[in-house]
Amino acid sequence: MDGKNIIEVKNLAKFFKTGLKKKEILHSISFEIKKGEIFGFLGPNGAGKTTTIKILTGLLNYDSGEVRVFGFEPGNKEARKRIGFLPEQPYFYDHLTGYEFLEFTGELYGIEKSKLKKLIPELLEVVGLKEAGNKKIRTYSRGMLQRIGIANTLIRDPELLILDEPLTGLDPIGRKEIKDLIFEQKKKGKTVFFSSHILPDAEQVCDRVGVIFNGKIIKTGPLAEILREKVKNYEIIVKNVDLNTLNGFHYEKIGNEVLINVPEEKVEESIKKLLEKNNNLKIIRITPEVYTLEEWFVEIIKEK
Amino acid sequence: MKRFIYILLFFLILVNLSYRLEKVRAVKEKATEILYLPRGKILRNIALDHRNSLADFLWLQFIQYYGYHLQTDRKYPYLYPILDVLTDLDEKFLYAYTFGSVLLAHDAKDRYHAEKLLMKAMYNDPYKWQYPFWMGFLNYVFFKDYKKAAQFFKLATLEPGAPDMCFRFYAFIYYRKLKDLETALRLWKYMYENAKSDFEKKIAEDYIKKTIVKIHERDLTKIVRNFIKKEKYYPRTLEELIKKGYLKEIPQHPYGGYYYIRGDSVYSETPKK
Amino acid sequence: MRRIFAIAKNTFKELTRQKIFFIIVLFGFAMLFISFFLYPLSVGEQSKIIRDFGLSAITFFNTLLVIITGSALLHKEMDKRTIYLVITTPVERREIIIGKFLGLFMIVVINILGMEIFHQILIFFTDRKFDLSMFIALYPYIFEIGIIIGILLFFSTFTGTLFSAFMGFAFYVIGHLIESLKLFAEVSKSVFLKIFSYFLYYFLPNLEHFNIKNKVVYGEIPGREYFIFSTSYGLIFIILLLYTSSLIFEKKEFK
Repeated sequence: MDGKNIIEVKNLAKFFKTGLKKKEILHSISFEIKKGEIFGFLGPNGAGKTTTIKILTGLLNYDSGEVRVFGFEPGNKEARKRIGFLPEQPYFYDHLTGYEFLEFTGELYGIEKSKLKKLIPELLEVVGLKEAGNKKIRTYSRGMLQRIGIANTLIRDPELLILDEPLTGLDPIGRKEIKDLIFEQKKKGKTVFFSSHILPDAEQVCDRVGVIFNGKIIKTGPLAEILREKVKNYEIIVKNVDLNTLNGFHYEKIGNEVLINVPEEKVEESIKKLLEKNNNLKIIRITPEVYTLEEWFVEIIKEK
Repeated sequence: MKRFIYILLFFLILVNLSYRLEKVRAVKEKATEILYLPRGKILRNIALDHRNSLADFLWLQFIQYYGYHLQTDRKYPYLYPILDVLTDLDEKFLYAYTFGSVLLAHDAKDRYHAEKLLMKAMYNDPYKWQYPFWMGFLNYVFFKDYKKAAQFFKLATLEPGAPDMCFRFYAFIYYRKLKDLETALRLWKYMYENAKSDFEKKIAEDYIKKTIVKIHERDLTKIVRNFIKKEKYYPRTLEELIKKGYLKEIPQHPYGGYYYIRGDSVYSETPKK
Repeated sequence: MRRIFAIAKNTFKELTRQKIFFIIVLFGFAMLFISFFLYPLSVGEQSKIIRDFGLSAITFFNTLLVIITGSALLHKEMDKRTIYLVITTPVERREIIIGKFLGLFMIVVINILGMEIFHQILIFFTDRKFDLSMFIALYPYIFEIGIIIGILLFFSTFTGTLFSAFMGFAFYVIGHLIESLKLFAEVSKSVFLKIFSYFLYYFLPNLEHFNIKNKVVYGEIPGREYFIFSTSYGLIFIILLLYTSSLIFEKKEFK
């Protein structure tokens, strides 16, 4: 392992036994996560995201392959010390208040009492639960639960945050706040590994993504690269064009501008044609038509 | 492997401690062994549908209790309370009534409770010939109350399915009303043959032997007195009776003891165990 | 040590903030109180009855409390998935088991003490004096409770709540009847049955070792030897149960 990779997964396989039947949940997946990046682990529900995360945190054992977290077996105490983990749709101890809960996990991390007294109010403020800190967790809303969960992952100031579906079930403002928190952690030099099936969010946050589908990793790489791979069309936006000259083009009229869609290899040829036929033509913009992650994803899954 | 050894080690220590605790606790256990026996009527309700199993469980405890005291102090203060609770739980526990009453009469020498137990049996289960029969039996052999014995033997003959034994005993006692050792012997032999347990068999066997000794003593005394009448002197040994032709042979003592003459009567000596 | 204490404290809070906990404790105290009013019925035996009844109420309700709350101790965390948050901290899994054990154990010990103090007050009202030997009668019971909690935790590591509760109850009953098993072993004629019943007799916890109530009520207090042996028997049994529970829990997967 070179020092840059925080998580290394090689040919990881996992079976679940239901009665006598064995069901393969993960088919030999491999990926790695580099220090300081935000890694999005993407895939539809049931693809194996949560299983992978549970293996990384030591909640599940694995059947074959090699997994290293900070160079340790997953679930190793040293590894656990450096990880902050937010499970999917986390539940907390209903009977505790937010403050008491953080105090409890703080003690499990071995943080001194005097330190906790200062730290917990700060954390509660960071996640916006300053007022709710003394209320029982039982009374919390979905978004508040997610926030106290984030506060819990931050209590030990971990090097790696593993967040399972941190944005699910939140309103747009809540999502924005949590995304901001993730960025902030990145600024501090932390590594973030998070899973999501909501792609636009991932698009805004991730440096690199891994896409998992049916227990197999389909793609890993920097987000920009993945998206560019699929660029096929260019959009040319023009003004002052005679619509009669546009026979044979895919076009769309937007106000007094016209958006023309052309394949990559015909861009130059098309522009030449347009300039010949329209004297007053004004080209406003030529842009590659970038797939959104969602479109890309739908396409990938269709292929499979 | 190391873990397995740890677990095994723990277990060995536990077995050892448990064994020691048993010893420590057993010391004072006997004094209070069943002070906690609850009332049968209460127990009936608590036991729900498990009354008979509970009665059986108590029966095991009872046997253990009896066995323990038989080997040690031969005192049985709780014999009746256990039997009482037991028969409250299981009102038709025949063996508990019959065997229990014999133990009360024979071992605890407790006529009052022996009879009380059998009266309870007759009240709970009136159409069984066994209960009046045993009542008669106890009165005949233990309490020597022949009038009462005859009454209960008669009662037994009236119950359905009573064997003719009952009638014979009834008739015998009713007409002769005397201390007849042959009848007693027959009664005990019947008990011996119909015994269901070793305990019972042993008691019956013991009584058979005792009765035989008594019969021997009675018969020999008769011969000795006849001898004195005819020969005009007192014999010193039984061998003298054989020499003069009054006796064919000295009967065998069932306990391996011997018979001897004192004055005009014959007595016996039973060896101590 | 601090982590164990944190888990114990959390368990303590969790249980004491439950309704069922208060209901059972309340019933226990009510039962004690009722025994006090039985005394006109008891014709001259009131001081014995208040002792018997009090000790029975204390042991019965605490056993009930432990079986009901103890069987859900681990499962509640697994069902609600709060265990994820604990397991992924640097806590050892055996520390979770020990912490859970101590949390419940502490509650029961405090409850026993509280109930016994109340019991002493009732004794004082009937006898005009306290009877501190009752505390001695309850001392070995604390180990019985510890063993039952251990059994509940042990079964909780690999079976469901109901089954664990059932096993806890079964062990409680068997543990008190077990000395008949020895009788069975002694009487049994088959060698196999003999060995088997002796094995079971020593393998299963003998809870009668911790029952001195019926002696103490009559003023018989066992010697020092008894307390040394019963304390070590109880402690070692608890350690064994927690150790094997931890071994299983260590391997457990959380789906």
